[in-house]
Amino acid sequence: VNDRGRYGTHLIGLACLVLGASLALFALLAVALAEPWQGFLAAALAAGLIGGPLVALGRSDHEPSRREALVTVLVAWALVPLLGAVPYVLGGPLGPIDALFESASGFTTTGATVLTDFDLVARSLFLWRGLTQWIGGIGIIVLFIAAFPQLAIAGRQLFMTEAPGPEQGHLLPRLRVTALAILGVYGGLTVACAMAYAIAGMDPFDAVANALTTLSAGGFSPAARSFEDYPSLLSWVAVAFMLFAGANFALLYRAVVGRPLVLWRDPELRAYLAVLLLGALGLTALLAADHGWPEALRHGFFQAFSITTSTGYASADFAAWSPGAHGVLIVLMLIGGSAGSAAGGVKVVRWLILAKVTSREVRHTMHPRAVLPVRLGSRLVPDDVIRAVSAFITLYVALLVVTSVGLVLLGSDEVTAFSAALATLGNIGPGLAAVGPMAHYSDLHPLAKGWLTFTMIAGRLEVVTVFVVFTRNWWRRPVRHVRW
Amino acid sequence: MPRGRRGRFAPFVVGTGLLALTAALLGFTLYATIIGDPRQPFLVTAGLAAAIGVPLRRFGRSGQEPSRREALMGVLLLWTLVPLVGIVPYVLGAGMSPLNALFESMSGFTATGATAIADFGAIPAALFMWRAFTQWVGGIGIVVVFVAVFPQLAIAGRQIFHAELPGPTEDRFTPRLRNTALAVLALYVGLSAACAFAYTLAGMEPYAAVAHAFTTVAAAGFSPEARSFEAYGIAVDWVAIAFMTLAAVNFALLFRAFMGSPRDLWRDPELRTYVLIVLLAGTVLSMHLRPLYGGPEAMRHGFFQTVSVLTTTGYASADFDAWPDRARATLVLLMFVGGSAGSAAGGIKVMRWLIIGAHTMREIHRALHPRAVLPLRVGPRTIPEDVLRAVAAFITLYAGLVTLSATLLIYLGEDFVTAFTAAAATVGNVGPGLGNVGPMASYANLPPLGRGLLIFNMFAGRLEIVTVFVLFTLRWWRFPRRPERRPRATAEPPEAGVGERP
Repeated sequence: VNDRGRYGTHLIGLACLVLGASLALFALLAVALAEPWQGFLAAALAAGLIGGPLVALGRSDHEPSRREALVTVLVAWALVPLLGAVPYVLGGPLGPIDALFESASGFTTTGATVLTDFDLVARSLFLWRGLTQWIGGIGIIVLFIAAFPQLAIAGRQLFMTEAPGPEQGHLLPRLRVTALAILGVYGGLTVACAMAYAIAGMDPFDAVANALTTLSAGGFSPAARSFEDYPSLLSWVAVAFMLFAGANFALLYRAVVGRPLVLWRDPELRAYLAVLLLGALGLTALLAADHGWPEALRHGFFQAFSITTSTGYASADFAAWSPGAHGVLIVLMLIGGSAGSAAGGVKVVRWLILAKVTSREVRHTMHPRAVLPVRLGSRLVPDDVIRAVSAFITLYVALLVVTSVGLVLLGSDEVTAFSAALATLGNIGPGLAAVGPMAHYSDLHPLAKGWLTFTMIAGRLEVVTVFVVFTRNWWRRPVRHVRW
Repeated sequence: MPRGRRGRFAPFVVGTGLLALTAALLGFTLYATIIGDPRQPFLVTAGLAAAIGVPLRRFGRSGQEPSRREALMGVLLLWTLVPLVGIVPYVLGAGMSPLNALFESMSGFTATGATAIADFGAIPAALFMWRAFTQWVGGIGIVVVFVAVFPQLAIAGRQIFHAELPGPTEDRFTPRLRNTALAVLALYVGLSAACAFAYTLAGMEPYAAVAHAFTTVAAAGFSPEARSFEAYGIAVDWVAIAFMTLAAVNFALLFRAFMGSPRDLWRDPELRTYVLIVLLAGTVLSMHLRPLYGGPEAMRHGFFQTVSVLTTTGYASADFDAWPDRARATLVLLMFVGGSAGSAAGGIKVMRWLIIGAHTMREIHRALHPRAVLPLRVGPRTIPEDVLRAVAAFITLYAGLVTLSATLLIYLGEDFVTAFTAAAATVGNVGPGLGNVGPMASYANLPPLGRGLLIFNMFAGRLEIVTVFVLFTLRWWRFPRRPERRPRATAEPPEAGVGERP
């Protein structure tokens, strides 16, 4: 029996069924709230109709090839946003392109919005928007921690060897074990976050909707002005939970199950904390003149954490800040959160590796034949990881540049174009100028919106994954095994 | 090497450089006397250069194998001391402040073309000629240093750029080095003469033709005209386009083409890519400019500015800062490409992009076939892994330096576009940027700290950055006492090039 493709089919089918089930629940919720429910129902039916047969066709006990695993990832991240877009169109306020943008922005945990008037949006749709980010967040974490190390994409093989579950085992059992462990941490933190928000004074609906997008480093908020109108205490609660959201969840899991010391020994976490602190203090210093100390401290910390972790909440309209503060924010956007979280961007660990490799080359200038190993903490960084990381960063920057130029050609100004490209590729959400935190993406050219939808997905899937499709080798059919 | 002789190569190099400068300055004294400009600035500078150069040269020794440290030190000192001495004519002859004078001098000797002169009317003609001449010297200086010294130093992937040269490819400085350097020099002089002649034919007066030829062939960009090439007609522009294009081609390749194998030109992957970029970007830019100028004029400005920025020359045939955003974005992209390796052009250079491109493609392929063993190829050549690593590190440092200095400029109060393009235009040795440092503006309006930073950028950019960053490593400052103490955990073979073998 030829089993090729059966595993991917199974997994995609499963994803559709989970999505269909949650959509069906939302249809009920919408009916209960007397809000438009047709979109949820239609999407639920579509998801069920696609998912059911796929699960029936697929097989879960079959080990996928690399190609199959990659196809699965790509198809899942194309199909799910497509289905999730339906409620925005049917009974919602958006056109098809905008709906796809909003949906992709949700499932990629970006947080860039095309909603212009928040008053026109039903509560159930806001909650759905938050849930797409939460689903996207757990989906990507499990994928990064369990699947990508095995696929050895963009250096992932090194970052994630501390993940829970069997270290070198087959993909599927590993996925299962890891998924459960991570789901525990993720779910627990989300509940804690929602409760903390509620206790700190948010109304329950907002608390849940915001908690869903805090832990997934997503950044959609049901409030039109994000965190600006919430009291100061809530900003600090958000800061605390964003800190967790941008950390490596496998590491958090190990700390929770009894080894808190691993946290301090992890070089990425230390660098991550240093970036957060430096960014926060730098912003505070720059804002102090205009806002006064307590407010500057609040906004400095909030915005540094929100941008570094690629969440994208705003406690103030940072597009109106000084150019110096913009500089800090752009640097933080480029850095990104930790590997193994739902955070986007290049990620701290890759910058660490790049910095170490670069400093090694400078030393090589003096001693060209010296053999200098590159270490990350106590571990040696193998050459293939170094190469993968440098290629990843090259592709990332190239896509950033091409996207910015493309947006300029489509009529955006330079700052808008660059920050929009950066904010979508890094899955952050709001940019500066015309796509600032209190503005929206809906005024961009339709082609630009389509292109940014692509960059969100490419950024989410570590860029390289998406670019494999553009190689000739990909389309060359694999040689079939000789069947007896 | 006998004890006590160590450390004499760098003084020799710097001393020689300063003596050559003295000779040139004496020539300019004569020139200034003839045309009736004040000659005292040049004479004083010549005296200063001689006073420093003679003792250094007498102390130095040429006949030795320099260690890597010495070779690096020589290059770094040369590009520090010469611009420092070059301050004097600007201070004495045009009354510029020392900082602005250093900016101008560094911009000259690094063949950048960024200017801190606010009022072009206050500068005597002889000084303009001197300014152009510093760029000419800087242009050929860097090519000779790259061809002769840097391949051995294996800096930023340089070792393979000249692999096909009739020159030293092994560890030692050889007599062939002199031949290579002479060949390149002859080509450079020939090109400059041809360029000056062509400018005259196209209608430039002789003085301007020579001054512009100096800075065209050096891919440098100083012009005695306040409005650069806007002051000239269309024929002059096309002559400039042709010679700028040549100035950013690998000189060794050009030399071989002239010596009878022109087909090499077409076989060279870097040259092909370079020509492709010129054609593509020129066409795109012309299309952006059509609504502004109409067909032929748009083509003229499109190609002129493409070539000028790509080759890091920095002339302007129009105030491109006033162009639409899409045209400006194209120019910013070109700033980051740069010319060919082995030319006087600055920037990252086409060859390095080819290597990084090939590497990235290979890694994408590896996502599908992680265990595939794939050689890294650019054209017919296989690129060694150590070159790839050096190139990747170079580009990282380059981008890091641009980002860092742009950020600092923003803190100093510049706007985003000015800060970013000023950083990119100085690290890439281009010259003018956009915004407040546009082609018709001056860097003199930046805050002093910003100008100081950009002086460093030009210096670092010209010396391939890595060379400069070596200074920031601990190891550099740990002077080797023999037997050299080896650091723990690194198995390190003895330093190459040090004559410490039995």
